[in-house]
Amino acid sequence: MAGITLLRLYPTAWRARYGAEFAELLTARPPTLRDTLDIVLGAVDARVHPQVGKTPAADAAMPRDRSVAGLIIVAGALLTAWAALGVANLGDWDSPGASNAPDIMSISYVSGTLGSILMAIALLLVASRYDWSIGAGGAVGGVLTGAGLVFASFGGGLLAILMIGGGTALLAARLRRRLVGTPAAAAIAAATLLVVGAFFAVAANEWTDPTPFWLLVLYGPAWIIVGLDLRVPAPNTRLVGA
Amino acid sequence: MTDPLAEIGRFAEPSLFILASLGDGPKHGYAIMADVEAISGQHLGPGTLYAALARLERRGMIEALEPEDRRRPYRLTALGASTLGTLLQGLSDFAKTGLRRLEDAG
Repeated sequence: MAGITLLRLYPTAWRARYGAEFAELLTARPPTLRDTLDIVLGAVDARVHPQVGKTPAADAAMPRDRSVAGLIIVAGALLTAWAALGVANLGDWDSPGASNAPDIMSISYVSGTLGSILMAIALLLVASRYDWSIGAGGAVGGVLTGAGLVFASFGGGLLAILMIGGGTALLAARLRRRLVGTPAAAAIAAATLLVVGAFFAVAANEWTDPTPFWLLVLYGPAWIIVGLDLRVPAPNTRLVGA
Repeated sequence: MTDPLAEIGRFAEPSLFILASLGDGPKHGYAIMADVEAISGQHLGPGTLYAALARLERRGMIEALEPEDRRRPYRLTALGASTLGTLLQGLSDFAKTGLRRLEDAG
């Protein structure tokens, strides 16, 4: 009974989550003196390094997580502006560089460049902070996607598109396993597929018809969805039975 | 690639034992303790066991199942299984290198 009495040393939230099974364990296997000391140290650890928070959301959405999520949302918004403004004002497709609204195209270009750089920074932060979750593949995917976006904003062409497509494919699968829900991961995967498809569709028509480029408008919103999802705990980080 | 258990600190080794124990199927805490002692010779105290379980659960490497008579089983998630595989492969490569060096030196 001494072991079960020691259970009271643990925080309330911990006892609510693990108390019943812990007490059952101590009943089935009465603690030795060594185990008693281990239980006391465990209680200290549970208070100093709580693993069972007051709210799982508070544990998961730490300030740094919210900053990364915010950065992704802002970058997504800029990329949306880039695509929407740019495609709507492409002007005479036969005269590259010409446009009916050069000022708007400038805004589009700045939005796209800034959005790409911010997204690259955000994905680098995701890769460095969450590599224990998303693994080497996810980290490489994040870096590749970010680099591809920056490269594309400076005229990277096919190579940039392949970097974005391949990188996002790697990243999306691992994001879904740990950091975001399936809808968000599916959204960015689908949007990336459409971007890559649009590029090849325009190229297949020998760059005579830019209509498929309208699909680029979906890319930014997909990242906004990822950013919004990242602000809350992913389903498999929520404590079961808490 | 960084050690996926590195940030768990001093609970990294118990966590590895727990992941390995769950490798062949779900177990509750008592069964994990007994199994770890059987396969490794290491004694896991109840405090250490649950400190490690809490960390692994929070990181999504294990998940709790419905209680059975006040005993709650845990099982590996896909993330836990891949993490365990990576760690054990690394340990295996390390052991082979060490043994080969001993053999070459002897």
